[in-house]
Amino acid sequence: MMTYAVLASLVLATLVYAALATALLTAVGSTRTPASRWPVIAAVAICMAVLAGLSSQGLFDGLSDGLSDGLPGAWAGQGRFSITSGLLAVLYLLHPWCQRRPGWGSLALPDGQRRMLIFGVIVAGLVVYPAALGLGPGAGAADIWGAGFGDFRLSTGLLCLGLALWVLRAYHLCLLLVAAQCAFALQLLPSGNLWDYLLDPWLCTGAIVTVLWALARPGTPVGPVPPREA
Amino acid sequence: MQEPQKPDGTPDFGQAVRHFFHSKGLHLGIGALLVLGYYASLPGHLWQSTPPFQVAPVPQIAAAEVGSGPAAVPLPLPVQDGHSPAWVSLPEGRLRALWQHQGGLHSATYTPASGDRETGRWSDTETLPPETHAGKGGLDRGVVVVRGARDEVHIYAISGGATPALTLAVQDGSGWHLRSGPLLSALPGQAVRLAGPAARRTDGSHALLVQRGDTLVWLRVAIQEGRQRGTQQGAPYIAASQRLPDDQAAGTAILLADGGESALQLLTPAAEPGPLFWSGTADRGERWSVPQALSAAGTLAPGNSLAALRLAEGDWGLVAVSEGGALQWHRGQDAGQRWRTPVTLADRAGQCRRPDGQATGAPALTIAADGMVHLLYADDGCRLRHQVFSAAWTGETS
Repeated sequence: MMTYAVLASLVLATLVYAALATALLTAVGSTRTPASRWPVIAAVAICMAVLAGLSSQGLFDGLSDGLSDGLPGAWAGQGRFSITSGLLAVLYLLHPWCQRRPGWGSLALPDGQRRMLIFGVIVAGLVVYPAALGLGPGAGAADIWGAGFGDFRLSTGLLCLGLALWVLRAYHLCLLLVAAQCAFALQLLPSGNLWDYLLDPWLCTGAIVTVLWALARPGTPVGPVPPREA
Repeated sequence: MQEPQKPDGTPDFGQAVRHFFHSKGLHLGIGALLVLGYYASLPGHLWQSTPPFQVAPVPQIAAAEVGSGPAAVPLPLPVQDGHSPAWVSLPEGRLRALWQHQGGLHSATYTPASGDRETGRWSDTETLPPETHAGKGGLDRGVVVVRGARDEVHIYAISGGATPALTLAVQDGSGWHLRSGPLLSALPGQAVRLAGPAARRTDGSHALLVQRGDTLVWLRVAIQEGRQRGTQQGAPYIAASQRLPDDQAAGTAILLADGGESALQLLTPAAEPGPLFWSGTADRGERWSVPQALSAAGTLAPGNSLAALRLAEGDWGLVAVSEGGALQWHRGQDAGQRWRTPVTLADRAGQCRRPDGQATGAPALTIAADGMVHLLYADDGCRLRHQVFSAAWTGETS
């Protein structure tokens, strides 16, 4: 049985894979992805998303355990990409298109906000995932990952974070936060935990790799910079 | 506000977007969205207080301690291969036994004597469809069988793959209905299993003990009524999560409700034989007392080595697997202040292992409508044994 939570996960996975494919092509080849490659990118992204989805029994009923456990595609993020990852992929993919239209450049994620986002994702990941593994502080009432199932303290903390971003006029980050919260309210993903809407392990890993890359190569931009118009 | 115009007089949408992004209206609008996001991220159940525990009904005969000695009736379940047993009390005094064997979940139902039938009888063994317990792997990750709010049978299991998720199979009069539940782990590949029996709350939700990695977590799992918040009707969702403190590393935990507000939590040793620990709550599980060793229970085998039930207010019955593998019946009274001399039920129990070497489930204990205590356990040959005795039994045969 395929619910729309599964469909939403597939869409998110497709978007993220498409953004990754675009970034790889951009890194390997020209400064921007030719239009002729878009169908290839889309086909690869959809195939990867479907493969990942099929290998996740938690999302598709009726598949045998052996199939579910055996395919490495289950590690590829199906049902795991957060709303934040999906929206960042959309921003990345739309960036060249926005650049071509006067005024639409405001939709692109500004550099300052990109740095804030990377910093925030790393900090949140370092707090949440060790707590989920039982490594960090988080016993009893202060279970940080468990708070994602519904805790007004987490919601209030996120409101304070959002207000700080609002004061700094980091509107993109405010909208990312609100989108994840609204998706949580609508239960768009197959998870009842707010953290799964805000973060995912791949987003955190990407943020850490980005910072390490920037430290190793000083002078390069922090974060994946979308391809610009030639 | 004047709409920005192109030199030729047609509105420039890009200019409008740029203008909007720098206007005060956008600033206030995003502020309003933040408030909306805050409201959206608040759980729907936040405004409801935590529901009280549901106290398991105790037949009057057990509370009055009438009779003693092992009972000849009701009829025991015939000995058969199996392990990891569980009981479910059904309406009209019926009992349903479930157990695992060769990668399948099997069950049989006991119907007590009534009317023209002088003796009770067991139904034929039924093998449940694999999808009810997420396949063979689902059995390895633990299965919890409970009675639902409408007397239907609920089977909670965990589906496999890198994204373990809770599944629920509900059996009502029309057959089995399968429901997909939420993801249970924060990271892919994290081992998650159901680690103990469930306790009920008055709203029909269940407290499920889940082991995530090395951490034990109590999840309050409720059933979605209607298509709210975009979820499937009848699907389970996690209403709350409470992690056991790290210094409370336990093999399993059993929650026994003593009242709507108060409950007892019994914790078995995790990896090495050790004492049984208990802690209490008086506020519906919000806070728990510091665990204390229950010396009367002696030294227990680690892991799934305990079954417990409530016999009366402040009166508990425990069946524990001792360090040496003996199965012992402990009866505690006056909220654990007085304990009777334990009764050894079997010398070698708790030795049954799965083919992969993993320990099997705990003994299963329930009390029938006639006040008799029913125990199911796997002996050292992985054969399922059923014992029936009075709650007041002191070990002396009459």
